Amino acid sequence: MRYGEALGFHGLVLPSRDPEGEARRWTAALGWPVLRRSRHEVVLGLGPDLFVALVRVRGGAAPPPEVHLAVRELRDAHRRKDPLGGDSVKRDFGAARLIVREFCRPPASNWSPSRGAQRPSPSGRSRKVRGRSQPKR
Amino acid sequence: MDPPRFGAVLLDLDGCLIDSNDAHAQAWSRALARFGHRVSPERIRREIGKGGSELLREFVPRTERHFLSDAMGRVQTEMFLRAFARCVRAFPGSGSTVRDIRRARIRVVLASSADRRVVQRALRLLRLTDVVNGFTCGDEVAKAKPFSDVFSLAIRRFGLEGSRPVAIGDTPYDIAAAHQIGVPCIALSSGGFPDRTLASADARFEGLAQMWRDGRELFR
Repeated sequence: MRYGEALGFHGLVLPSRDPEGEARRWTAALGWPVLRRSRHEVVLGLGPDLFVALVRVRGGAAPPPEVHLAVRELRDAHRRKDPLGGDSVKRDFGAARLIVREFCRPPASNWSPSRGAQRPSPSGRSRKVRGRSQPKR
Repeated sequence: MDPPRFGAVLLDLDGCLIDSNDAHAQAWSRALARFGHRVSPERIRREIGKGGSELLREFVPRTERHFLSDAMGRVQTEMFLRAFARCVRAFPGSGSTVRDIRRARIRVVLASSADRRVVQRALRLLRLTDVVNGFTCGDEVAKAKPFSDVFSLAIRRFGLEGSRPVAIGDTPYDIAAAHQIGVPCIALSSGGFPDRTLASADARFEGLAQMWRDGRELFR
């Protein structure tokens, strides 16, 4: 996998036996709003650029956690469009899965932020955040 | 301004050669909406002339900008290019004025913060591709206007150091960028910026054609 510049890690997908309970603790610690919630997962964060997804695990082996890394100029023949608005590639390392992404386009509508969620604006005033949710799995 | 004069021109594109500033603001507004930000074209309009990353500072929080500014700029460029034929016009006489300037053996380099494809499209519209000495654009520099990188690159790449270059632009960001590196700047009102925002320019004219007609003595 080749790329021009690493911009930084911007997302985590973590298996959880109690996504709702963990989400409350994450929110209490970071103040991040819930972007999307379903029986299977709770996604917290500010959008595709900064999120934590807690994915429910029921018995059996849990899927590996995912770490999402944003880069510039991802050069990989296997890059695929994803709903976060990027082209990305995956690599499994056993204990974790790495997703490397170049953001290229607007995120899919299921990444739009819930009304009323707030994130700081450049001028310091808070404003409505784009209701967005979590990675498709 | 002191007398005998400029032998090279660092010419801005949007607002100087083509009437495109409103179309850029519209495209930014639509692009930002696709990322969930509602910003009116009127608010964006006064920031036009800055490079994309600089413009986004006004409207997008830092973390989001860090990760998504490239994608936002890409979407804006696509939207602008899609609207180009419908919304963008050459200013009357701008293309012929550049030809006149070149005929006077003054070197002309287009120095724009816009994307390369926008610059090339505009040059084709104006039929100036083979007339100008070359161009530099926003995607070639780390920091576009109001930083001086676009002008510095143009001077270096085309060897204009000894030619007494002058920048010609339509925004306060052109003036700031030129003055950072000690290059004088002629401001044109054709881009729609209020005169008070162009007050620090070394000279001011309505448009490029009028500049060449009434300010010919400024050039070699």
